[in-house]
Amino acid sequence: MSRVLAVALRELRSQVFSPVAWTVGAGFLLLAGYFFFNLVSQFTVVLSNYTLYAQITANPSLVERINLNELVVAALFRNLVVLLLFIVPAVTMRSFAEERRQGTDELLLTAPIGPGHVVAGKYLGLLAVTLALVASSGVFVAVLLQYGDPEPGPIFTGLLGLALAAAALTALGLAVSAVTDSQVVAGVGSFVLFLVLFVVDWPAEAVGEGLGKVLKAVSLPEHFDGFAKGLVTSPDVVYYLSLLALGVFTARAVVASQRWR
Amino acid sequence: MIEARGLVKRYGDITALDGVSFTVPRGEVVGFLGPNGAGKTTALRIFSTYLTPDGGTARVAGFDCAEQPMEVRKRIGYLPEHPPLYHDHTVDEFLHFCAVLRGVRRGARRRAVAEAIERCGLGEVRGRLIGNLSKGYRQRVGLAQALVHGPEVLVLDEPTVGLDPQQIREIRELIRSLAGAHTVLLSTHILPEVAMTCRRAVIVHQGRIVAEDDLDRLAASGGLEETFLRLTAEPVAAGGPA
Repeated sequence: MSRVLAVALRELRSQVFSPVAWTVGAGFLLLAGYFFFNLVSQFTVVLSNYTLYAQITANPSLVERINLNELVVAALFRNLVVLLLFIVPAVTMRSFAEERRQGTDELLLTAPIGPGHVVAGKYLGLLAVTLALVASSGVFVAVLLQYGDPEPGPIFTGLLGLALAAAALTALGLAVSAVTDSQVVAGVGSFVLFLVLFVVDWPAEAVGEGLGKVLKAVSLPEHFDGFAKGLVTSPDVVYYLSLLALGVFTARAVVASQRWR
Repeated sequence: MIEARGLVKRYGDITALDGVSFTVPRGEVVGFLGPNGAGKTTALRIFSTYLTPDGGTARVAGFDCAEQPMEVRKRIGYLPEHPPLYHDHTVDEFLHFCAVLRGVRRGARRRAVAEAIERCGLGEVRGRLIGNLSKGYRQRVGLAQALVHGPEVLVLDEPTVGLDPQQIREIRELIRSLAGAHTVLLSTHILPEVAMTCRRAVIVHQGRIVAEDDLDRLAASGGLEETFLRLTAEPVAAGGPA
């Protein structure tokens, strides 16, 4: 166990001491802040419009239909999950690809620990980084809580969904990094893979019910919507955990098979 | 202690090792000689368990490298051709990481790291980032990494490549001091290196063993260099790859 932890801490350390993670974090917060600003300004416009209608039509209940959670919180989380598409590959692309290019994989893979432990350690190290990025978006939630009155439930589920999606994509990114010795290939490969997960259900309506259902079942945003709205359902949780398991076990299989090249 | 029997390794159409057999007895330092591309690194990688052979067996301390890699890894120290170093770590941090990875118990780690630093002459630079060290120091850190867990067997792939004469001398003295307590297999294509550090040598050429003997005898007819050049001058006979 201490060896898994040592690998995890080393990975985390490499990330923290590299400008990549900080650039990614800065970019993430910048864009997330931009989205947040946009959503809040739109919300203000909508709110003032509805207030006006309510006065004209003498129907005060109109204003009550406007929901801070739906218009800002849910929308923000839907935007943030798209950002994962860009930030996770940037974090995971180094992991195995760089070890292999520097030859340090020879150190890890000839140490008396199994490939599963190496993968687990690396995964935990990377997960700490991606989860820290997700957690940093809590800044915006804090602003809402300070100046508005959103329901806390959907905020919690939204962050949970974001964390689950980040954990799943991190595992897949690790697996992609395990098959190459080029960071660029790992980065682009993971990005394309993630993009496919995001858009795979676009033709769902057009391809007929059976295949459409399948496409929706593998689509990542399809399984995120519930979290954004404040719903935690087991199919959604299982979806992300399955992707996570797929990523970790693929990475393990790839690393273990390296000896037999 | 180290034993190869009929090792075969192919990369696609290329046969890197074509039935390599030799042994290194306990406590000896044996030179693994051969021109570049002879298959030295491949053989060492098989002993280190980084690769598995396509045929034949490799054993270290009685354990099969392909079948019982964990047992082998506990007993072996390995310096690859390119020292595997994390440039964003200090020497101390890196060796500590290696000690954990190699299963040195918590209470013994500090001492193990201190000993490796002492043996490899890294005291002055132990707090510096590896990325900022000279090539010679990096090579020594690589060697310290292979020694930190006190392995019975050491496998060193060209440990003096790229060093200046003073550093080469120091590393050679260090390797010589390992004899007795450790069993060492040392690959190189630099002949004086073998002459200074080893009593025996194995010469490999095009994936085959062309000589395995005491250095005195290898050097008998016209010197070691002469023997080496004669043995590695022509393609090996007996059904090698076309």
